[in-house]
Amino acid sequence: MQILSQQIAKLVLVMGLVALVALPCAADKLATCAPDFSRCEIPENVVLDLPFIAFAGDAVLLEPDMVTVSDVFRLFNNFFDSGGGTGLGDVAFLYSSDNSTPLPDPSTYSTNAVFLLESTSGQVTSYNGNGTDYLLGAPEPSTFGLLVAGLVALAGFTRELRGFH
Amino acid sequence: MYNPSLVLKKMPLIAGAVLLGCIPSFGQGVVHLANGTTVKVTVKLNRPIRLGPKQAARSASTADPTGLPFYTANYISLGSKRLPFNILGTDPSLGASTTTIPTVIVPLKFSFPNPGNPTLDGTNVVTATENSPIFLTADYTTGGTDLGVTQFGDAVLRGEFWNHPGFSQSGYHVLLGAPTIAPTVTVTVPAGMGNAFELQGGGLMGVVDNSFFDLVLNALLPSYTANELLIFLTDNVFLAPQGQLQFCCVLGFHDSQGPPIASAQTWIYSAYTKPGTFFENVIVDVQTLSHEISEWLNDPFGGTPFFGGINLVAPYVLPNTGGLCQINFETGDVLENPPVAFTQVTNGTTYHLQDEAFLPYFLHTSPSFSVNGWYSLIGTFQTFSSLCGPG
Repeated sequence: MQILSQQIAKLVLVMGLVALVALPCAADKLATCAPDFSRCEIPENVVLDLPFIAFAGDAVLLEPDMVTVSDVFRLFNNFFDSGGGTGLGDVAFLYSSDNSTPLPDPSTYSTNAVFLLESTSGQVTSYNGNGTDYLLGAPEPSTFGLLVAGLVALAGFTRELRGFH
Repeated sequence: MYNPSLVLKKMPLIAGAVLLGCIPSFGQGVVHLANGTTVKVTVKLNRPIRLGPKQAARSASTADPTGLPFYTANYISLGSKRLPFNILGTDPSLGASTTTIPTVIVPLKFSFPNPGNPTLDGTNVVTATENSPIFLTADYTTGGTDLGVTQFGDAVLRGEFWNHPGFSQSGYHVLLGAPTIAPTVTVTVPAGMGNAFELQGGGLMGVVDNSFFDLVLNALLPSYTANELLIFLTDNVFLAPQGQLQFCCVLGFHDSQGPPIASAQTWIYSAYTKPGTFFENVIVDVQTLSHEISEWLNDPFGGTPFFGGINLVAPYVLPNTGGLCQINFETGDVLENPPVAFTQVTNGTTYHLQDEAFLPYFLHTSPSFSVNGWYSLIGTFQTFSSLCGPG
């Protein structure tokens, strides 16, 4: 009984810790990028601050039919607007047809828009823009953080339970 | 337009991004040395954007408030956005006008730390530079259109705005004044900061460390005023980190002090390049200076990267560089890989000049308001730039 109480208490503590880990992630819109900016994870439907200034514009992801638009990765020109959606900026958003946020109208695509096939494997689609590999459709930072923290906690908790045997 | 508040908030990040976004353009070159060694070098006529040196504080009584004569105008980019530009001279849309900008050539004489302390003296190429199409006039007829008998830089600007509404084909000029020749500045290059190399075909080339060179120039600036163009002229002396040939070569650049632009000094460094220095003479005599003069006329305040100084355009791809992108209005960089040159004869000597891209090339103006509807002076570009993709 005492052991069970300890287990419940630990579970509560672990869940609290997980919540603490997850909270900052949920509040932080900074994109998860490699320190040298060679790679950035871009979840769907989250306004992201990039930790660098990028060339603005749209990367349009197409279904295998090469016509239907699946997602639009937009880098906004909030720093310098040179027209037609081009310029410089540090805000990004990945619109997805899978979610409630409507895809942008094609008439708003940037003048320098690029078109690429969405990954058919159900994994993230990799788009290399000027040396940065954008992993489009990566899990949201909060979800990802929660998952990692939960798995770590679960592993630790399981190890503890084994010790009680 | 850029957002000034964002500039202040994110300056450290922006500084890094500008380096990423404005990698200097380059071309491959080869140098054959007298000892039989062949060295592959990268020929650059630019360097990354950076904040220029601060202007000296001026009291109200200091009599040097005047800077360069320039105008500020908005031009439409990508069919929708009005972008501000600072360009030397008067607004071409306002008709006939002649602007003459005082010019000073500052010859630099380098004494190298090699055995025997060889020297390369910019004084030796002053006359050749004075007699070149940079200062003397020649006839510029391009695609059957006669732009007139004038200096190279003026020909570029006249061709650029040839069919712009309000432009006076008969009466618009921006000229360099007959250059004043400053006393030669002798620079003793410390060990580790530069070297001289004997070339296979005879003669020397010098290579000096970039940072050391900047210190030399910055120390000279207070001797001159902001209303004149300074040309720091070397005789076959180029720039590279630690003065190492394998990291060579910057052949020239144009720069300015930081804000405010109304009183900012501007200058050009240019190496007068001797024939036989680079394989097949890809760059020779005043070719580099022509590149820099055109860029300085069109975008004089590169040392003020933000705050309304530098002229920014839609990010474009530098041709033949494997996809490098640039975002400032640099007329020459897009035509240096490989360098696109043509010749003019002045004072009986043939000189090499670089083709230069026109403003419509960067704005995507169609049709182009430049001469012949073209996008560069001798017509290398018949259409506008390729835009840099997102990312």
